[in-house]
Amino acid sequence: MYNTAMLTKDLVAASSKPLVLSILTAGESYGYEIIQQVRELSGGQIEWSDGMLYPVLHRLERDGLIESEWKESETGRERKYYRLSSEGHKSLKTERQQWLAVHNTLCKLWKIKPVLT
Amino acid sequence: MENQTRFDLNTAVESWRQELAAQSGLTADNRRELETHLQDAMTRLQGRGLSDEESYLIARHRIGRPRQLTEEFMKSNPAQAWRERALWTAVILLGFNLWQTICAVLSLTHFFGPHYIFVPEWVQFYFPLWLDNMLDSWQLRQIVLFILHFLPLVWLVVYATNGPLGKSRSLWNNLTASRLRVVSLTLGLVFIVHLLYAFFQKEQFPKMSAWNTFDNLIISASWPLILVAMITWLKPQRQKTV
Repeated sequence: MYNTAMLTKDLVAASSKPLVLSILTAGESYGYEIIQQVRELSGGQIEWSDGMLYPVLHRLERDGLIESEWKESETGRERKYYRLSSEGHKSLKTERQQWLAVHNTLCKLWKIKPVLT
Repeated sequence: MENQTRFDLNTAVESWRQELAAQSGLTADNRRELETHLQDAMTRLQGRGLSDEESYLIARHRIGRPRQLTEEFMKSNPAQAWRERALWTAVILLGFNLWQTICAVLSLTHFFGPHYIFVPEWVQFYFPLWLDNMLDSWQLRQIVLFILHFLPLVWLVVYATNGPLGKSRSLWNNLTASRLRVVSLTLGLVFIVHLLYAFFQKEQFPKMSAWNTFDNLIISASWPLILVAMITWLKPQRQKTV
């Protein structure tokens, strides 16, 4: 039986790229903070296993969508900070269009007024 | 009587660090990043009033088991596993070759004295024309061999740099479709080249035993194999698109 409150594994995996890119539009961030943001924004519906985020971040970095740098935080702890690259901005634009297309199509099928444009 | 042992956070983190270090698929940078994450998670949990032990256990559980983590990291970067294997292959071959060269040098200096200039096989591999003292009738063969020696390397370098051939020719695309195919073809080329080399040596020195011919073949072949392994190590896996 499906738990309607939680997203399926496939959907979590598919949405990881637009989520990470969207979070990084607000400025640079690091793994732990990204996970916390996703958890809070989704109200706990999107639950990422902490260690699984890093392969996603590394893949995005290899694809040139994000860049990383080791920096010392205000607490003195060194962290690897990620930021969006210009390619990442372009990719996010495309992702946004695609996800909105899916969203709008489903809204039409389910006869719900789209909440996003 | 107190049965419980006192929890030491530093020891626990060190033990976790060693568990990660034992995973060959994780780089030092990966481990450092995961450790930072563990520390961040523990700090947050401690801030909520949890003890050191509770914070450590929860943070560790949330990050995931080292083995699972490694599998995920390797899935996202399969070339990493190849690099690791090729590196060890190269190290073993290098050790084997050096050992053989040292033995040969010691043996020759023992029989011919220290004035004997011995040129190891691997040096001849790079400079077969200049250092080989066989520049007489079969000079042409040497030139051919020289070119053939580098053919597998040229092959791999073009493949590694995704040269123009890789984009335009269907035959090339077919030959380089998978890493296994490229490595097999390259090793095949290396083998043919060195078989030819051994054959010419046998012709030049008919008294040379079959074992010596084979021995020379192995010594000569090991260095190109190291280079093949190193280039394979450097080549990242092509990304699959959905």
